[in-house]
Amino acid sequence: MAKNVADLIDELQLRLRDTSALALTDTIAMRFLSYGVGYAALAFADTLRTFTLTTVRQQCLYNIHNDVSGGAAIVRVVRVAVDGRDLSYTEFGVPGGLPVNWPRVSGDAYESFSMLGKRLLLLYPAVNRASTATLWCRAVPALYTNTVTDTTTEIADDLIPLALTIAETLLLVRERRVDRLREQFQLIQRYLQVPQRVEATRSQRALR
Amino acid sequence: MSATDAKTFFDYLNGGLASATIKANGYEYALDALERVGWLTSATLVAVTAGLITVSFPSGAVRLLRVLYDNRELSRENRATLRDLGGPRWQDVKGEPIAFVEDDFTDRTFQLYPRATRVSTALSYPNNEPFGRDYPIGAIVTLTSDRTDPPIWFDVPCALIMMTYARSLESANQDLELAAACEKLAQLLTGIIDRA
Repeated sequence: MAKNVADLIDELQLRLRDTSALALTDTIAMRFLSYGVGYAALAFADTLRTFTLTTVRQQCLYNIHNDVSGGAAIVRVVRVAVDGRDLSYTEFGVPGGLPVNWPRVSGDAYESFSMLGKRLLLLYPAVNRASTATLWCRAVPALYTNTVTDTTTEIADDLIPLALTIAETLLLVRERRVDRLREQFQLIQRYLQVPQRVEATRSQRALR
Repeated sequence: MSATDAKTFFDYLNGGLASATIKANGYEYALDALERVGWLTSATLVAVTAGLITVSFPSGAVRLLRVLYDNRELSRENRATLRDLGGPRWQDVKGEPIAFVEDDFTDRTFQLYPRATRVSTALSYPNNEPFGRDYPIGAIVTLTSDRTDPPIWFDVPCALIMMTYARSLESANQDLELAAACEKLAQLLTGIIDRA
C-alpha cells in the first residue's frame, strides 16, 4: 500500500533521531524528502509526463525550458507527436541523420525530432503552419518543486526506499556525519543497479 | 527561480556557515562544473556584415557546438584543411561560408571560411519569431553550451558542488572528508539525471 508524504516525514525523523544534532522540523524534512522523491522518480524512470509545445510557422529550433509551459522540469524528451503523428528520433551529426541544409528545409509535416543538450529541441523539417506538439518527457514530479504542500500525497512503493535513502543522505550531509555517508552511498548504488524497479512495459520500451 | 533554490538548499546543508563571498564563489564554481557537462545549450542569431570573417561567441557561451549559416550547417575544420582549400591566404577568400575554425589566438571567437560577402537582413522580429517567420536571411546561428543558471533538477547537485568548494577552502570550517563526500553524492545524482 502506498505511503503518503506525512508517513515518510515521520520515517525520516525516526531515522535521524539518534544522530540529529540540529533541529529537524517537518518543513525541512519535507524539503529534503521532495528532492529524494524527485531523483528516485528520475532514477526509476517512473512516469512520463506530457507537455504541450505550440509550434511556430517555419521554426524548427525550440528552447524547451522557455517555450514549453512548465518546461523547466523537463530532463529529457522521450517522444514527440504532432497532430497525432509520432516523430522519429534523429541524432545530430551522424550519417543518415539530418542533412547539412536542415536549417531551411521545409515540408508539409514534421518527420523527426532531435535534442541538442537538454534544452534545445529540433523539429525537422520546418512546417509552414502552427500546430501543437505533445512531448512525453522524463521530468521531475511536482512534489520536487516543493509547491505541493499536501502531505497526504501518496508516493509509489517502488520509489520509497531510494527516495528515503537520498533524503536521509542529504540530511546526514547537513549533520556532517561523514562516517554514515559511506554506507549511504553503497545503499544508493545498490538501489540504482539492482533491478528492483518494475520492468518496463512494452509501451515504455517502445517509447525509448 | 533555481539559482535562489540552489543557494537556499546550500544554506540548509551548510548551516549558514559560509560568508556571502564564499557562497557567491561556490556558485560560480558550480556553474563551471555544470557547463562542462554540456547540458545547457542555446541558439543565438548573429548578424553578418560584408567581409565578415571573425565572429565572437555570444554572451554567456563557453563552447561552440555548431554553426549555421543561412540554409546550411557549417563544417568544423582545422587551419591545415583550410590552407589546403584556400591556399596560404585562405583568410582572404570570399564567398558563401561553408566551414569555420575556432581561433587559436583569441579566446571565444571563430573564423568563417570563406569570408561572407552577403550582408544579412536586419535582425528585427516583427512577429516575435526570430527562428520562425522572422528568421533573417544570411545570418549566422551559433549553437553553444552556456554557463548559466541551473535548471531546477540540478538544484541539489549544484548545492553539493558549492559545499565541496566551501568545505575545501583553507578556513576554520575546512572539512576535506565532507567535501569529498559531497562531491561523490553530486556525481551520483548527476549520473541519475544523465541516465534519466
